[in-house]
Amino acid sequence: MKGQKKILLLLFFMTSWLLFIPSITMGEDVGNIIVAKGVLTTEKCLKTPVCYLEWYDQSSLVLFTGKRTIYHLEANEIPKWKFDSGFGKQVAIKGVLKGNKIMVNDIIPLEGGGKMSKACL
Amino acid sequence: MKVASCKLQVTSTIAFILLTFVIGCQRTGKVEEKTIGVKISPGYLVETDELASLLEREDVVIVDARSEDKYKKFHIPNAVNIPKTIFRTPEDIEYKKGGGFAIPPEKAEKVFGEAGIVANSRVIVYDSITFPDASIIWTFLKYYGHDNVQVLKGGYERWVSDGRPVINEVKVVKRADFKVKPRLDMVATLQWLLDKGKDVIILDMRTFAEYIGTNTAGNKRGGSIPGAINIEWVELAGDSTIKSAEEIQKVLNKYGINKEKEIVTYCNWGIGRSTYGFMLFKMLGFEKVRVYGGSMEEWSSRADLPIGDVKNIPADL
Repeated sequence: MKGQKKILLLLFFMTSWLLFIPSITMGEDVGNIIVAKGVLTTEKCLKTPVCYLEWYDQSSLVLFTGKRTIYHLEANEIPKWKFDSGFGKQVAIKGVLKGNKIMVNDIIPLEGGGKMSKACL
Repeated sequence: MKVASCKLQVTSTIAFILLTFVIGCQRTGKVEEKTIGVKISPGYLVETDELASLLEREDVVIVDARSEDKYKKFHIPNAVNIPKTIFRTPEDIEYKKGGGFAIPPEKAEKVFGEAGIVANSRVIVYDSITFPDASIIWTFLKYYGHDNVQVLKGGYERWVSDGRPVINEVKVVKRADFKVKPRLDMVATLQWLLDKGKDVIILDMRTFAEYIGTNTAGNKRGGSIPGAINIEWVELAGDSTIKSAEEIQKVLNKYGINKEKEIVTYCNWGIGRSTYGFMLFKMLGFEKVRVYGGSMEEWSSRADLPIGDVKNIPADL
């Protein structure tokens, strides 16, 4: 009987997995294209109590919006160096929104610069 | 008990295999529906080997849509040149303001007649893959009633990289009698666009910087038509005239575009990137597609019309 239970349990998991796979593969292509505006900075910069930071640290890139929401950024269809031109500035971003993450397809630096800490934004 | 247990195991295994098969079939069906939702209709594109076999055919007219300079330097044998600059005369721009398409009928008769195009001509047009200029000729011919027009896949660059011959001798053509039959349902005028409102999908085929207005591109006001979706034409073109159907489907999914609503494409002048969008959606089998001939040149010059630009991007998502 124990063997049968094991088989049934195994069948249950395998079936669930098979049903789950399509939903994740299908979800891969579908996204929510957004256009957003905010300051391009890093997680570390936001936590630092200084107003002016000259270095480009290695913590993850974020967009800090006018309503003080933080979105994590990842390069999707653009090379990572494109972020450099907008670092510390107001930027406009086009990308795919997934939760609190934006997969960036395009980025345009707008104005400003030098103010990266949350304290002075 | 052992026999019963064994039977149950065998039955379970068979049930599992059957279940896997059924789910597998369902999955395949769904994925196909999702990824092969669009396909490029056959006959719209020509490969270099096919064009190479047609060079001497009298019923085939090869059109080089690149600039005059580039054409004079080197081009595909027997090609005639129709650069986009000839469609930007003050008369053409004035004609467009009247709600028409980019060029008046008499101009189309002259240009295409001088290229030797007649009713039974098979026209094959090419450009440099870094520009959408072949789509201008393709769209103008379609608009004026000539359906037998195709685009060389991969453009001039593919022709050269495939080791095909090029010449610099300019072809002399005897003017032919090209008759126009305009298809007004291919064009969106400003009034048509205003009347339709949110019933259509408006596609801005320009760059993101032009879309949000940080690059005014010579227009009176920078920005875009409010509510327009920005798909830069290269997102669909890739580096090979047109991306594969699967890649295009992914782009369309991302932007939520399907065949249900009518689509209107625009750029700055109403020729080039907007005609590329028009051509592509037609090649994908979209029935309801129009080009907004006036494009941003017209929209931005009307101070009474709203404009979407970087100032309109909300403070949060």
